[in-house]
Amino acid sequence: MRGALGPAVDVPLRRTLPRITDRLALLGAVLIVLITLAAVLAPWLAPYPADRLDPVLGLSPPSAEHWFGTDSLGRDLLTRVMHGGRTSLIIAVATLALSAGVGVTLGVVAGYAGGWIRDVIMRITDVFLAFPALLLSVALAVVLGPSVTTVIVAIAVTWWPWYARLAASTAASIATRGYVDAARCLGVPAPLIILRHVLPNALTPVLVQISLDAGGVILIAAALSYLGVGAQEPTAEWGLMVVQSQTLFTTNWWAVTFPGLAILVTAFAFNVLGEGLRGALDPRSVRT
Amino acid sequence: MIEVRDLQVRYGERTVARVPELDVREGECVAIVGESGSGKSTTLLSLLGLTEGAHVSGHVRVCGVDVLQAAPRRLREIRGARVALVMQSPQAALSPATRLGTLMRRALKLHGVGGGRIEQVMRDAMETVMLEHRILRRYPHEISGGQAQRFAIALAIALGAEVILADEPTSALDVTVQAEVVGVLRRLREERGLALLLVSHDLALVSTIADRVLVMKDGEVVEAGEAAVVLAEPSHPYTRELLEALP
Amino acid sequence: MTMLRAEGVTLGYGGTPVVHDVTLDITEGGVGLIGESGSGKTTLARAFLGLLTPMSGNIWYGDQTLKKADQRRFRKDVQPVFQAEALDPRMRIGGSVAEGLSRGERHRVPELLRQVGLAPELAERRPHQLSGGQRQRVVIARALAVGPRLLILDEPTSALDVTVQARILDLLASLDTERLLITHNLAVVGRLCRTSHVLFAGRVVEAGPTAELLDRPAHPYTLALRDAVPKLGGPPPVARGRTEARPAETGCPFRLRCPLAAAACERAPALREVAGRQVACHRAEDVLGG
Repeated sequence: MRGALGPAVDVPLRRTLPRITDRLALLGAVLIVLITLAAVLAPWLAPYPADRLDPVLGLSPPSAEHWFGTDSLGRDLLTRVMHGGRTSLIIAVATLALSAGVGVTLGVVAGYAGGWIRDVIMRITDVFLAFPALLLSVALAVVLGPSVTTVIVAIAVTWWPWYARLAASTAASIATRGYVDAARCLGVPAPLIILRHVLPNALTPVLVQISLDAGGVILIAAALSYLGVGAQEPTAEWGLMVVQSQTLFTTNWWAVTFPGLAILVTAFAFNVLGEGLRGALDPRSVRT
Repeated sequence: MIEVRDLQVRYGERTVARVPELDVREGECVAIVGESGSGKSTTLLSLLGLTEGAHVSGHVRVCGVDVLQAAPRRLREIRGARVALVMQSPQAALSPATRLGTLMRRALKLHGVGGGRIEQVMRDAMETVMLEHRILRRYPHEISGGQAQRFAIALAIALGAEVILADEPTSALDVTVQAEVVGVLRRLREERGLALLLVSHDLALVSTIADRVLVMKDGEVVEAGEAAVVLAEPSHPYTRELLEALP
Repeated sequence: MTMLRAEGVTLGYGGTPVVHDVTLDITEGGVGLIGESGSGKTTLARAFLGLLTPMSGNIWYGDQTLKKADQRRFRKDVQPVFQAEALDPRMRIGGSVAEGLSRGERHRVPELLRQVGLAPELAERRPHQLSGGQRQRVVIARALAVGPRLLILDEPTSALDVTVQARILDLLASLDTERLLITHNLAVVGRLCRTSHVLFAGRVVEAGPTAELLDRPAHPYTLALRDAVPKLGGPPPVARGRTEARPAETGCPFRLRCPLAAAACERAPALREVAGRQVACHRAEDVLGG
């Protein structure tokens, strides 16, 4: 009889889950604000100038003067991590804006129009989805030369199709709603229907996805730096910092741990915020 | 089978349903009629202790169990087995990846029906609601709304229900399908002495099957009595309004 | 001449027809389209609104096919009223009502809201802040904004409480427009439509004056529909034939559900004139004779 009595069984679970995710989401939001502030205000907040070398203090452990210790060139790690946050966040924002912009535009058009227009757009999307992201990025880096811009372009190229798919399926379902039919019957032109009805209503799941993806983008950007195709010295970037110090892990743990932690915490914060948003905007998804 | 006195369901300060008296005897059909927000569904759910987060007071006896005092275990025993709940869209409450037959078999085992008897019980139940046996091999999404509703009733019968609480059981169905489901419910009443408490917004439908009716508005019972009397000579203006609204 | 007319229209999605060779005039005095879910009535409505192109046959708008007709004029003439969820959840009520108005005509929104019995202040609200009945009135106001001569009403009241339903029907009846009313509710049709068409499995099985159809059905399906409707204080609704049977692929589509089915029914019946209406049934005379 679980069938008929299902709701009674489900209620307690449904009630507790949102509460947990809500608190986590709040924590995520607070962390993101703090990280962003630290990154944006790095030039003013950081204890030392960004590139000040102090060979004498190379690889000194965390201390009162250098809370995170120093790297092999004697640069203050806290300062570097804060400046690195600027790079990582710029990469995340630029990549997501680029891929969501392109993906959502194409996806919404495909989903609303249907027919051959959708077929063409979705085939193109499939082609891009077929590229292995990292490999493509490496190839691009060879062509464009390794830089932050390369990272942004490389990730965006392989990332937008996901937004296109998401937006297309959402838009397709919105296109069947009564208010879209009503607008068509009133003679509202298709581009205006898309702008007025389809896009605003398709945006919610996209925003959730963006915040879920932000952590992933930061991780991939770090991986690209790790592979040597991303940010280059002396630019501070978390992935790059991890690469440069990884061999020191057993002897000078802090040099790799703090930038690593920065990546981890940021990715985590975006993820829980995304999950929380998803729960708040679509209560049904929380149950799964 | 159902005995309610001074039932009051409150969420915080707000009283959402107040029912001074409600009795359903064996073989009887009582209907609670009202519009959305009248408290009719809340009343129904409170009879099974299913109003989560609500403060329920008064005296409620269902199949001899004092619902408001009983231990959760005792409640679970009557829920599903002796008292069945049939909702507006039972498909939503059926686990989507389980075949109907498997589902019914599990429910029977859970309520202690012996292994050898299970198949026979299932066959009888399906026959009673006029569903073909092969429906049991289907998944919930593969059956129609009317079939799902009759399956929910079959499940109740298989488990030996004595009381069916039905919340708008036919309002999502086509009229022809509604007639079938109502026919099944009527027959169960006559042949098995099943007690039926029906929540509905459809006065016309109620007038054809209920012995007694309660008319609810904004959480209060505004009129109650024999169906024939209430519907022929309504004494409350709201009942009159409902009757006049019939197209 | 009627404003809108379907002629031999076959409709479907992805090449599978769901409406077969339907001819239907939207005549004066209201036209009802009755059928259960899956009968193709909403599909037919979408074709009348130009939202779906027929696989074969034509929708005639005056003396032109819909494809060739002046779209601006057609859009002003024919408007839909769908079920209550037909409002953009993100848009303010005023915005929805003004959807079909030009910038210069926006000042008419309060007047339109008043016309459907709503307070003009509601223009600032969003759909979720309104009741179901109020939302349905907004949908009607949006359609009326462009001054239509014909409303295509698709189950305009079925999601509403009975008392609300009655008031919306009053409103619809008071409007000075022609109407095609799509519903499964026979009683509603009796009130708003002079003629009715009964649709089964995408085919018109009976068509004629509504009163005649409801008083003395000539098709067993119309009879089944009528007798399934519970009447206040009347006998319990009767289930005639099992609803589970799928429409037959060949012959009369209703024969697997029909208590009167005979050998003749393996041939598909054509619409013919019987007792002042069109009916597609070999045994119409028997149905009429009781």
